[in-house]
Amino acid sequence: MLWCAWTASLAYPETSVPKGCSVLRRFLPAATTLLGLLVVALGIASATLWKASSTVHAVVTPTGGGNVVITAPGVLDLVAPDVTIRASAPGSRVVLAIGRDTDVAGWAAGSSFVRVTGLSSWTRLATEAGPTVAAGASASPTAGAGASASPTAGASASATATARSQSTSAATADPAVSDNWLVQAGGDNAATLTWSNRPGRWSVLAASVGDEATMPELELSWPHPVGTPWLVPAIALGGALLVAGLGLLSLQVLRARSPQLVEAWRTGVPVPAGAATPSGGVPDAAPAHTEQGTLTRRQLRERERSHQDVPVVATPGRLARLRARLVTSALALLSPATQRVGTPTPSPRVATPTPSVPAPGRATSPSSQPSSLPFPGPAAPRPAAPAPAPVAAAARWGAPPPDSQLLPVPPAPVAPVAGAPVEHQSTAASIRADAWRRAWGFPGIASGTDNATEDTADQGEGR
Amino acid sequence: MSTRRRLTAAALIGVLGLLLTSCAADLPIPHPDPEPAVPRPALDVQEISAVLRSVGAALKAGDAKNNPAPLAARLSGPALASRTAEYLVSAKSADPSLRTELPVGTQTVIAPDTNTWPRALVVVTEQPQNLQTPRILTLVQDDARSPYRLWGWARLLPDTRMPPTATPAAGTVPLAPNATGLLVSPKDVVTRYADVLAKGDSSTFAASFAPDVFRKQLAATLAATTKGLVQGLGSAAKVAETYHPRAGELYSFSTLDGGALVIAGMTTTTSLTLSGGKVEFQNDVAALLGTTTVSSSATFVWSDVVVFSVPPKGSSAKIQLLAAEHVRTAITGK
Repeated sequence: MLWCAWTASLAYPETSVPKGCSVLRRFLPAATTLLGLLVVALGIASATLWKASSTVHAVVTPTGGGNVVITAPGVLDLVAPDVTIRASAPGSRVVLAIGRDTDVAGWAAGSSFVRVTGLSSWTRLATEAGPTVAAGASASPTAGAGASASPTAGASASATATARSQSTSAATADPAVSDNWLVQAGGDNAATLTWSNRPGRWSVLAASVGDEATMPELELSWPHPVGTPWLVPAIALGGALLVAGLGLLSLQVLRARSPQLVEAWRTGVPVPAGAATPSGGVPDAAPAHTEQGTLTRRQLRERERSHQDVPVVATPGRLARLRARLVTSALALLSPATQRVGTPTPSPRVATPTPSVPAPGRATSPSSQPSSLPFPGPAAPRPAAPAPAPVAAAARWGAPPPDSQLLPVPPAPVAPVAGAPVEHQSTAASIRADAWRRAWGFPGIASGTDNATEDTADQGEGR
Repeated sequence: MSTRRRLTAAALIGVLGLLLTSCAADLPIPHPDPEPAVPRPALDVQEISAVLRSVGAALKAGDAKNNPAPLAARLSGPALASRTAEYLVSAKSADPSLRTELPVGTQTVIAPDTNTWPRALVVVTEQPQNLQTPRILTLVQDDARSPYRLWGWARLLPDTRMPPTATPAAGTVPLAPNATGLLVSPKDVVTRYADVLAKGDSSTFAASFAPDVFRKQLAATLAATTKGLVQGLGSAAKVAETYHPRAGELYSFSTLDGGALVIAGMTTTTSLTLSGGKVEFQNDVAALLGTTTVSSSATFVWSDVVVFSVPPKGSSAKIQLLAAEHVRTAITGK
């Protein structure tokens, strides 16, 4: 009911629902098809258009007086074990080094630095100012480097002193000379390093070296396997909706074109081939093959050749029963044809001539209920009236326009001729195949041209 | 009807929103490995090799011209002082064999399990080409921004055996100077050994040290010097020798047998006092002294590195001197 109301609102955006589902049902197939397409499109878009990048680039551009950026342990393998690190600081030499977190923190503690703590978004790195880290790092006897005065010879003392005075001057300290790094890279303006995670706590240190050194910009890039969790469910759901919608749409069109076929499907009873034949040129073929509704035309023809003389009137098979159930429930979803088009039901008229329907020599299954079949009898007027509305609806939804030649002139009532089917055996197959095409809106091509089709149709009517 | 349409629109937007937001996963947060209870080795084998190569390169550069300038980057402490003195001597006599040969190929590596500074790395080298005993090199990193510098070397004494130590991959825990659990704490080992050197067997600590070649040689050299001077100058010449552990130059590591490897720097001072006469010195001493004769006094300063194997507490074993180096770094006199 909710569904119905929803499709109703789709179909009638400007009008209210009260006209009811019976009216709105005519839009159900189209709406379902459209919804199926939409869901499939959304699913595909989620896997293509909206799919996240397969690489995560996260950047930080620290500001401040320092020249060192380090990462907290665990940041390097935040997204993936393999990371590409790039640091850039225009105008100065840039050094990138990876070491144990304590070594990196210990080195950085000598300068003012910025620590990267994680991601603040998929493109930005989160940072914290150095001093909070320096408090922890100062626990290690780093600051008091000069305190460990070793009484060495004059030369060594002065050499060590210069080395230490250099290391205390933050902006000129070069981390590249340290022995603590596992890997390191350096370059003017920028440096790049790749790293595969290994057990332990690792950090990267990026420093710009020089008198005019500024905070380097740090960029981490990880390959990021992106899943498409919505693709399959969306395509499955959308596909199911699409199939259901197309099925309903076909049924709608088919019912308009060939009510007998639909009715035969619904009841699950095969209609004798001859029974439908006199009813007019249009939908006479399929009833003989209700059990094989899904056969190809070629199979139909072949089967026709081998069973020309044997009318198929057996009790409905399992397939037919299943189809009957399907068609019945599908028809329940569709609005009733009579209600929809507002024309008198053909059945009352059918009822009377029914007894004369069975062709001479044709056996009729006892279980069949000809009276309930909406087939017009041979003498009844052709059911041309029901056609306009559904055809119009179908055309509105993009269905191929009906072949105008299929809207026939009322045929001259000709009495059925016994034995006629035998004489037209050769044409019967093409007639039936052609009827299928017309039912689905294809131009008839069995006999080459439309004229020929019409001719054969006339012949069939003339029987 | 407008409410219904609004509801419909809301439902549609909700579905679309769900589809869109589901594309963006939550931001990952760092999950570093937990901090190990015992720090991991400060250096791995490759880093140690790199350090040793750098030290070797510095030594090679210095040796090439007997020039101590290239050493400063990679040598410090007694090593730098000793090498500088050796350059003076070998430059004067043009005899490279007066320099201690220092190979940097390793037999055993003791990597420190530490997060703090200073850090010391100990290496037992391969045998030198002159077929002397292997050296024990001690490399020290003073602070986070310093390189590892060769702090000191010592020659393994004959008939000694290194105590078992952990592999460099596992690392060895450094010990504090006052570490317990040992027969004698590292700090006391050196002061007691200095006492033994000064007093000989009459020292109260002499019994806790196994006899060693170094002590014997020091005593023999002192005796020979004294004897020679007494022969020449009689009572006018007095010779005295003192031994002082140097403050802050103590590096200790636990060994697998529960004991410790203790490395210490020591200064030996030999004082010569003359109340009459002159003493003439030969090439190498003259090179350090700057002159050949002294008439009143002379002071010889030796830079020593001593390496002990200290047994665990309760052990009946004695403290064994494993390696030692005794290099004359300065001579003053007039």
